[in-house]
Amino acid sequence: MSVRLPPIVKSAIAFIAGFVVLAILIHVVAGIFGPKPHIGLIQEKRGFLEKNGQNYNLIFLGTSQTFRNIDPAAIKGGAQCAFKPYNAGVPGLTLEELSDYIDALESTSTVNKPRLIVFTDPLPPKPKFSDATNVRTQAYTSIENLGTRLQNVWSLPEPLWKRLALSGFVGTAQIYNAFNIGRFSQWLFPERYNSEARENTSPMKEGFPSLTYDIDNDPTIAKRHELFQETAKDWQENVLDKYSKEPFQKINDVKAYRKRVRILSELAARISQAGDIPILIIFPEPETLKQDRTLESAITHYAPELPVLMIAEPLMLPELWDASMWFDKTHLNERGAEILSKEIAAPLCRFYKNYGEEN
Amino acid sequence: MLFVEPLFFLFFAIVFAIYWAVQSLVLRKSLLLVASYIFYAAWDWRFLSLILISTAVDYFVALRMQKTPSLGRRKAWLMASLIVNLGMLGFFKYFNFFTEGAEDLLALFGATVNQTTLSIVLPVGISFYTFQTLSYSIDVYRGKLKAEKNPLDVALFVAFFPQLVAGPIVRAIDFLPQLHVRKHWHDIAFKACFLLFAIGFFKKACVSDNIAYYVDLIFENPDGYTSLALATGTFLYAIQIYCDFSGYTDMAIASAGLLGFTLPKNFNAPYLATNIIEFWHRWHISLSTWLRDYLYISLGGNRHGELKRYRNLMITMLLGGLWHGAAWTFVFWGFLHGTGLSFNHMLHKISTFKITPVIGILLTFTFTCLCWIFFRAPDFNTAWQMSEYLLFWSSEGIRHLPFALWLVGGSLALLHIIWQWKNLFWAIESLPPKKFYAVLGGFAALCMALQASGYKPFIYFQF
Repeated sequence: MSVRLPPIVKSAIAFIAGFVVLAILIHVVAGIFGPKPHIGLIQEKRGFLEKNGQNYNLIFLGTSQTFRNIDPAAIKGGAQCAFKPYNAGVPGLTLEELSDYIDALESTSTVNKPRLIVFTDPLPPKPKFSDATNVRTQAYTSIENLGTRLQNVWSLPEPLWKRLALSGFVGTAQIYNAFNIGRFSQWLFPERYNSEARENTSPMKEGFPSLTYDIDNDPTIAKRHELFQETAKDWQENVLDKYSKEPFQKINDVKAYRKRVRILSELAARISQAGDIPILIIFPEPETLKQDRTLESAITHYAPELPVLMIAEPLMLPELWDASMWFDKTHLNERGAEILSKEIAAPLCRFYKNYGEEN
Repeated sequence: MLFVEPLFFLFFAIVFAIYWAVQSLVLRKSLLLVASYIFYAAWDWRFLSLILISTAVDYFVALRMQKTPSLGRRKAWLMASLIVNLGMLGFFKYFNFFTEGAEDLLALFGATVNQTTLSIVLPVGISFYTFQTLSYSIDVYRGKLKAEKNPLDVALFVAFFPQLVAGPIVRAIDFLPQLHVRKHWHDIAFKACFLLFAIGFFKKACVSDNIAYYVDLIFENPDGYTSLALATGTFLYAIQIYCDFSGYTDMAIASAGLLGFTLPKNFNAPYLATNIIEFWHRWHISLSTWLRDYLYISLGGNRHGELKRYRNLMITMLLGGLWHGAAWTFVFWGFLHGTGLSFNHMLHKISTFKITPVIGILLTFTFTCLCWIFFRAPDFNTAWQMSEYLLFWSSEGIRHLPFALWLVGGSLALLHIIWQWKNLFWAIESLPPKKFYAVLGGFAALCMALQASGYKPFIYFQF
């Protein structure tokens, strides 16, 4: 028995068939011959570490907090260990990017191993269409990475609707990738994409950017700083002064962090397997006021073997609870970074030495 | 909401589905009006009020003009329409231009006045729908068209979303009759509409948006580039603006076509024109015919001798230039085209000498490219500088643009010529349905791969 399809269905099938055949062909051709676009700071730092990772014995991997808060020169000055630190922080670092970074570290030679690798909790994908489709996200979007990207979202201690929405953006990125959107455009007009990818042109010292330069040269950074300064006084009175008086005691739903801790623990295990020493750092983040000890407690509960350097505690670094130390409400300025870096040098050194003695 | 954005595809799919599901003509028109207002509000809901005012005024004025036998009163009503519509356009688009001009003029005579510029946001599409509504009032005044009694029809004529923000400028005489007839699904030329939309998408997202980056580099800092790079940038801008605007128009015509409406053709391979007169018969046809019918002819056209013809041409083109933007560079662009048109008419008058079509095309294209410099440059200084560097090949800049851009531009030009020569649109549209949709699907996949990242607004939105 033969089924007669309506003309509209036949047309739709023909369209989809034509689309799929050419999309697959483009995917294959671009995969084999297409040059990869420059994806900015992350590519530069990853490439640098691949070539020079063996020259450092203290490497910071993380998000914009690492990028702005860790001053390698100050660490050198504050430590009694012979640290050779490098700030490999990249704004917006997500789980798949951090995972790729660890791959790069693993591939470097073992001259200075074990190195101390200080990493942060990676960020989830940004909930914006433009971020799901930009060249950097697209470079990390693939079927192989899909599991990691979804794992990043579904391990977050966030409400269901938020995780669903973020999964939607992961899906958008995946569809965008499957449809090859922009793939030939990047090939034919690479200058445009390369210039878009250069998100930071700051003169860097061991990976640490010059905030002064960025404020003078990057309108986005200048605007952020300006907005911060407008509200800095209120922030000082209503947030910093209020919350800096006592230590954080609050512990929320530890169970909600179980999956997150597992991910952090797996990252640490990979670093260890490569012959390096992992340690998770938790930075002060007064903006969100979500600062509590839940993540730390969850780690103690679910992965006690994972070392943590918790410096979010106001009483630990009281000088930082001052608006003049901040670039915005999440990131320190150069002065703040210097203080924080000096302060963490000693505990990192102790941890490094103890690890050496124990092993 | 740009035609190339996924959001528009979703919006259009919903409108399309409901439109064809509904049988009542009134309901269909109401749906299109609501959709058009939503489409416009997605840009800036505050300026919907201007469209509503324009609609209400012209609806009322047209009815009053029809009822009044007295020519004087008809003229008075027409003046009211002109004052309201051109007043809004003048305020939002030209207020700062004229106040700054007046201040500069007074300064020449030693008088100083306080700065009176305002921070005014230009409502998107105002130049287009103002000309559209004016054509309605003027046609009713001239007795060419009967005033429409149904306010829904007038409102939809003004705000019909496919062409609301960047044309083509539709005449009421062409559009209103279409609103009186209920469309039938089987009358729609789906293949032609889909193909036209895909071509428009290709022009905008795959060509215009990709080369915009290089054009911006050149026009931001012409000093830094070699003369060859400046020539490349100018050539690319000619491609960019054509692909941007005609791409928009293609998508507008195709979207309207899928809803059963016919919009006028706006472009007809303008860069293949053999002289500048022909160019204006092929470029932004809905504007050039509007200017011809409502301005040039009103000024006397070519009825009072050659000198008056040149004067009228010049006034029309100067105002046409000003229509594009409140800057002297646009006025000068209009002046150049006015001069070109007058010169061309003069040549036809005094000489029977004819050049070969290929030379004519090359000369017209070169002239058009040189004029585009004034259209695109941010100010007069930049435009003069670029023209000088190009005409005397004298730039001392050292930066280059990739040579591959000439290959891209050349390939596009060749494709355009073959497309026109072999009438490939018709050839593809004539394929049997299965083959046609398979080719369309493949072309869609190719467009996606060639699509530039991010979405740039259409150039003509700023006019």
